[in-house]
Amino acid sequence: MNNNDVCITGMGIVSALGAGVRAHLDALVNARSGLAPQMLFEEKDKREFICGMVPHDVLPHTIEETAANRASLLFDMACKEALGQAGIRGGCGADVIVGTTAGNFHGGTLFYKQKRSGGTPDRNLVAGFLPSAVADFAASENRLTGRRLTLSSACASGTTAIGHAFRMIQDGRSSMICAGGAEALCPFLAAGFNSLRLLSRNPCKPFDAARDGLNLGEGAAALVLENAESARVRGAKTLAYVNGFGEALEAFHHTKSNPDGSGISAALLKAIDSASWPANSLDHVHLHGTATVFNDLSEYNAVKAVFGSRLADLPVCSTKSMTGHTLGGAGAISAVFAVLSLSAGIVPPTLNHQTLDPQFAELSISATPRARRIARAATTSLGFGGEVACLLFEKAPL
Amino acid sequence: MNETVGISGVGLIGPWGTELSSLRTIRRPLPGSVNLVDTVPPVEGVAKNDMRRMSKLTKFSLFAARRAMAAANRYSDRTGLFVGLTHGPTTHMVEFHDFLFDYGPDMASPNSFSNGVTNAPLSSISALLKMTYGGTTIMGYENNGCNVLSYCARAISASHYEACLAGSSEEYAPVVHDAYKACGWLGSAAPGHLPWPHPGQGTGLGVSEGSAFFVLEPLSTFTDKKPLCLFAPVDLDEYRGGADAVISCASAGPHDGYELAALHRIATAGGEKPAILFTKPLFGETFGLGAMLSCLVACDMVANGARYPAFPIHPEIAPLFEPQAKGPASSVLVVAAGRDGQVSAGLFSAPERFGAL
Repeated sequence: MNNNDVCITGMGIVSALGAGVRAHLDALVNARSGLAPQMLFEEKDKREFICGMVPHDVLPHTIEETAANRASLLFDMACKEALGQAGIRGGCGADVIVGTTAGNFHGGTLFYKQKRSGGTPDRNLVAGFLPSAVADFAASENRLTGRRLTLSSACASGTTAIGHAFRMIQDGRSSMICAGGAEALCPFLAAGFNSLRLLSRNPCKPFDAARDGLNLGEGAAALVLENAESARVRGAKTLAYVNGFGEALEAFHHTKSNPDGSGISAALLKAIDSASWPANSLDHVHLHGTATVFNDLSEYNAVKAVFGSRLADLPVCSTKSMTGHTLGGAGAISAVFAVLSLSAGIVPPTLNHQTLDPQFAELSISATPRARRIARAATTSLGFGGEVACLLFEKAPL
Repeated sequence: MNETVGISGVGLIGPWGTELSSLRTIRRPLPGSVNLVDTVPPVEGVAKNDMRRMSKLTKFSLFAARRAMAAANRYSDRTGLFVGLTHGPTTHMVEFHDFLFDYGPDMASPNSFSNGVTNAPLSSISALLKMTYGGTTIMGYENNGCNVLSYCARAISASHYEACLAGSSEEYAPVVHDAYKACGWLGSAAPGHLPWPHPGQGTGLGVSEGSAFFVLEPLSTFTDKKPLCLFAPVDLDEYRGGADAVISCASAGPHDGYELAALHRIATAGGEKPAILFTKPLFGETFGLGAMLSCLVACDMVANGARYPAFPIHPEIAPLFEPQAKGPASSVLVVAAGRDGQVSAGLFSAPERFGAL
């Protein structure tokens, strides 16, 4: 271990699968999905979607009741668990970096609705509706006195946040960062994805021949990242290392990914290059896998380009069929799953996957969890506007 | 680590114009409480139909970003792209909500949604300028512009990028204005002096909109030309004085208490008493963009010897600063505090100092 190593010393997560790393490991081992029918929109427009809502016993409030701070609450839950596991109680000087697309935007929606109806809008709704409020809330609740940074790279936001945190620690610009992503389900996002015809009315089927769209979800995940010296001095246990980060912009389309996968492969190669690993040393890739026609095609072409004939022996997965697509939170949630894969030796299941799309013939994917020895894993994230990011993780010695 | 970078190009747009020199013609305060860009000039490479579909925020960003890159006259495949925002493309989000509320989710416009997402300006710039290396949108408050520049300078120094195109943009939207008015912040009359810790009594500046972009490059690339000026991020805890002038981004908002504390720290850091300038009365409140515009003013001062009008200083700090620069400034410190208490600062130096580094 050298001082530039970026250690993960704590993890926290909340999603449709419940709260906590333990609940997510259990879901991974038992192939459990958190997706369920959910009524969205109001009155005459009310309709059922398959969604990954955080369960009511975890966050006992409706979307409307938590309009002003739902994403903040979710990220704070994840931070608390991560900090607790890292042995940090009572605050510290850590920085906070969060990735999100909409933050607590539902507060803004309700404010505007009240204003349109001629009433006096509730000023409390706007206090926290800016994306930056998510990091502020977590820092304040957990007494983290370092810098706060909010990054918005659409659905790659969570990965981007962890990636930039990784760089800041590696460069010596920070010794400890609580980094992750968060997204709260709200009518704005649901209506937006509905308008783009990207939502499936059925449980999503990543990389399946019959895939027909994504299921929205909500959630948050946080990692406590610190340099080796900080972890050693505190006596903190290293769960895994972040070893590489790569990013790219596709310069292609606002909402569609480039089918040739060139942006994703560029980001993946940059991540591998930053870790100084040979590409063939990866044991597992946790794909973005939204189950939309184009996203899955882009990702397949990217991993095919990077791994070539080795792809057939490289187990991959997408956990969107367990959590739904949590947008800005997705990359951070994937990161927690990737670290669990390293420690538990399990490739997560890609639920609902039945018939492999013949275009993806060389993809090693399964609807059931697979036991494997995994020492090195990668995650990929794709966002609107062609923002792409990848992270590499390595198992810590026992 | 030396985190100094060179500025090789700038681009801007606002109600005051599209040239750096147009900033000097503003005489405070701009009339009225809302000052808007009348028209965005055509952006080379963008079809009229595409421009029509874009938010104002994206148009501003495209215009300023293209100008900055053209001025830098240099392109690296490893150029990072960073956009600082406070509110995002609000008018398109409002339009989307109008469709949603009036006609239901099936009639909500996919164009309003895709152009209303936060990273739409970045993705449009990336597509126009074929920038594929990487970058992100940094969300933040009143200090965001200066924070974005500092972040990029540090990332270049650590060799993550060979150069960065970094900017900030803000578009006016009535709903945002109303939201701040509901919180008792924005008003129409400039206060008597700055900074003025927010009393919650409806003081504050009028609002404005626009965009500003910089091209930052490592000093090692300036072998065949001089940079416009130099920029270095500053940690105020380590600042030991020496700037000829200080630009404060105070604007009678809730962040001014933090601004006041930062100015105290600067004034007691040592060195000669610097002159102080408040630039936000010139532009109005533009949130995260305000700090980026202040950086443009600093760049103009050190690169071109430009002079800007002074503004009365809060009595508590008046003795600590000179009210007006005595001559052309060769170094200008920009300081900006956000409503969350985070403070960003950066030092702009004349290009003549390049050889001394």
